[in-house]
Amino acid sequence: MAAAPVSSTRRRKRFANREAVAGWLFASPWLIGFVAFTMGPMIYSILLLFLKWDLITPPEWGGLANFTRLVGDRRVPIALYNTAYYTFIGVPVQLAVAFLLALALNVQIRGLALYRTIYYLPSITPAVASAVIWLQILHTDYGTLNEFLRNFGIAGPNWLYEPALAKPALIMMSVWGIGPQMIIFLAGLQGVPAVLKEAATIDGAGEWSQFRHITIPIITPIIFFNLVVGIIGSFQVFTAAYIMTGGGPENSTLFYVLYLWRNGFEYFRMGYAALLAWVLFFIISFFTVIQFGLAGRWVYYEALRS
Amino acid sequence: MSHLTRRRMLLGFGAMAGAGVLAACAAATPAPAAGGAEEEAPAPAATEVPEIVGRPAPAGVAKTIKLSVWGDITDMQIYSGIADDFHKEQDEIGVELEQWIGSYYEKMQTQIAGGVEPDLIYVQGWRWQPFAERNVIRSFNEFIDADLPDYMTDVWSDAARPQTDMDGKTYMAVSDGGAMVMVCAREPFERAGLDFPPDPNWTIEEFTETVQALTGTFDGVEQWGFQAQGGYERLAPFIRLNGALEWDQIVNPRKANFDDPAVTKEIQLWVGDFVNEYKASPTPAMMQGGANTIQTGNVAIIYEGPWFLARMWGPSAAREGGTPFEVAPVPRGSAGSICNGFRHGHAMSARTPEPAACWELLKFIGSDVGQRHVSLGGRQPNSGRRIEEMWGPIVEESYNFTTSSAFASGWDTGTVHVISGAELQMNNEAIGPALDSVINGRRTAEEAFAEANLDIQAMLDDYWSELEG
Repeated sequence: MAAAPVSSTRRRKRFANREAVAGWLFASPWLIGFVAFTMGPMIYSILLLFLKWDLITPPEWGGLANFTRLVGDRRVPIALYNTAYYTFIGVPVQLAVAFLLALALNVQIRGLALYRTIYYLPSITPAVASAVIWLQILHTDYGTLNEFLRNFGIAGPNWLYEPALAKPALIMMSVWGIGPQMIIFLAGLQGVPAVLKEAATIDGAGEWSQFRHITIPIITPIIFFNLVVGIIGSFQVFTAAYIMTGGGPENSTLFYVLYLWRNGFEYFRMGYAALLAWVLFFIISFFTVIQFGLAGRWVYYEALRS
Repeated sequence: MSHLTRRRMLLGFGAMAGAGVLAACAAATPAPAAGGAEEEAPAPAATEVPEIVGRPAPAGVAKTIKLSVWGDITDMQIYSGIADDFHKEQDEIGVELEQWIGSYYEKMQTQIAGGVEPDLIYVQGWRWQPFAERNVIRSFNEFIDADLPDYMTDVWSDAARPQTDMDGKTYMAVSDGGAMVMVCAREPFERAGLDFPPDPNWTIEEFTETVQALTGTFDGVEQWGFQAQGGYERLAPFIRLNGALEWDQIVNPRKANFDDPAVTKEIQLWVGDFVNEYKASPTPAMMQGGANTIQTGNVAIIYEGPWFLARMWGPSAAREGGTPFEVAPVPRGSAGSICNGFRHGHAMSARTPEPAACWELLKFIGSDVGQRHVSLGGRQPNSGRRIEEMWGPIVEESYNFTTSSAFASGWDTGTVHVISGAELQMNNEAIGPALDSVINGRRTAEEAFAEANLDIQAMLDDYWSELEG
């Protein structure tokens, strides 16, 4: 009589094991990819920090040479400044525009799906094609932007040839790709419970008051998500500078990852490039941790409250 | 018969994925033998631009040499023709072609790192040196010595040596090249009422007067005399026209002289003054996106190479109907007429198991038969004699001009900007930004290079200390 519960336990165990195996198998494509193409190289890159490796001959022990180079490298502060400028000005601008667009699209109007598609489209346009389009838009004499400014009697500047304007021009271009943030904001706006707004209306709250005290708090987790992801992405800006400006004029768009790439693939310094990558990793981690630390002050999680 | 369950399917996929990973991690295999290669070289789909394309060696050959070609469409055609003729001439060595489109040197590095580089690697004359320093390409002097004196004596001229040799050894066989000239558009000259083509023996002073006379509004068309460019590679010969030199030596320099007044004077003229002082050139911003250029008909002269001719005339011309033109040598200074004489060619992998077969193929590429394919494909052949005799008549007919001999004279006196493992870094981070500020009129060449020269020198010192320990 006692055998039945034991057998049942074994069956449950076997079932649980089979479930676990199935779970691992489902996750295995990602896990294999992660270990082979992300974790593995990351671990190897730690070793590279102490090696001199030009990629084409076997690595040599370099001790702290890469760290010494980092300390004396005058281009690193320039690249960091350019990247920080792009990030801390660009990300708020991107979020503000994405949010405004999401608000505009969060209404029931004819052709809404078409508008959403149109605004999302640039974010799936290949980076090279976007760069070519923006080279035309930013052209001093024949560009759409300066043509627009001329309508107001303003002589448009040399956007990509003035060191003071090249970064703002690339920030302007980055707004072109805000489709994903906009869609996420839109999903958040559509998740704001109508019942709360109805209750506020009954209590006499106006549109602005509802927006400020209901909509914004409810979507703060979405804003937070877009902020974190936006900052992480902006610190890794590369393509626009690589294609459009080559880091110029006068190193004004020498972004950190462009400099890292050049060290690895043009200057034969893979070990140093690995160190630059780790520095970037810690910088991004630092700002991400800070954001999570500050999130408790302004991000509203309804589930936690309840 | 058992049926397929979800678990079995997953296990099956898991096993396949595992096998795939193991296969990917396996040691690199050598180039496929002839016969198997045909199946393994997929033809690119018509609608996509492939990153790597290839053409297998014919079946049944005893030895297969893999050769990389530059990433333009024309290069694959050139080398396919050469390979076909090479296979007709002998049946022992097969040629497998590989083309890397975009990011050429990055792909080259990763192939070398993976141990799968071609036996013969296409390189530019100023980019192979770091690979020789690291012993991943080999010299082939023993073959040259065995074949001389009747082989390639006109190819390895004194002008070519800086781009083919290092420390007395030869690492690159010249397959093609590009001597640069002044391309002059007929219409702006005629609008301004100047003789066309200009005198091929013009001096810098005459050139300066000419471009100023060409600048202005004629027949209602605003035009500029010269299309100035701010890149160092193309600026270097102009710096040297009056005997100045921005390095202590062009090959492996140890000292940068960009702050020498004789150097900054030339930089100021060619980069700064033509744009900002004489207003005889559109600014880079005005030329952005192809506006206000020689192809749009309102710039008279540009410094360009043979690759540019197709944009002036013929089916690929930038302007419908083409832009009638002639070419002239670079204007003479006290040191003569000096232009860029770019050499491109093939270097031999140090790991190739068939160096003798590689040499046979190199010789064939460099021969009259190979160089005819190069010429027909639009690239410039590897000697002044062939440029004049073989290439000149072809391009004069194709591009409707009569002065191709300027290319041949440029080839014999052509120079290269610098050969150094630190070249890219110096150019990207110090020379380029300084030139930006000069062409934008923000600083004079003297101001810009007083500061930049310190950076350039620091990079050189750093490079040498790394190399020499």
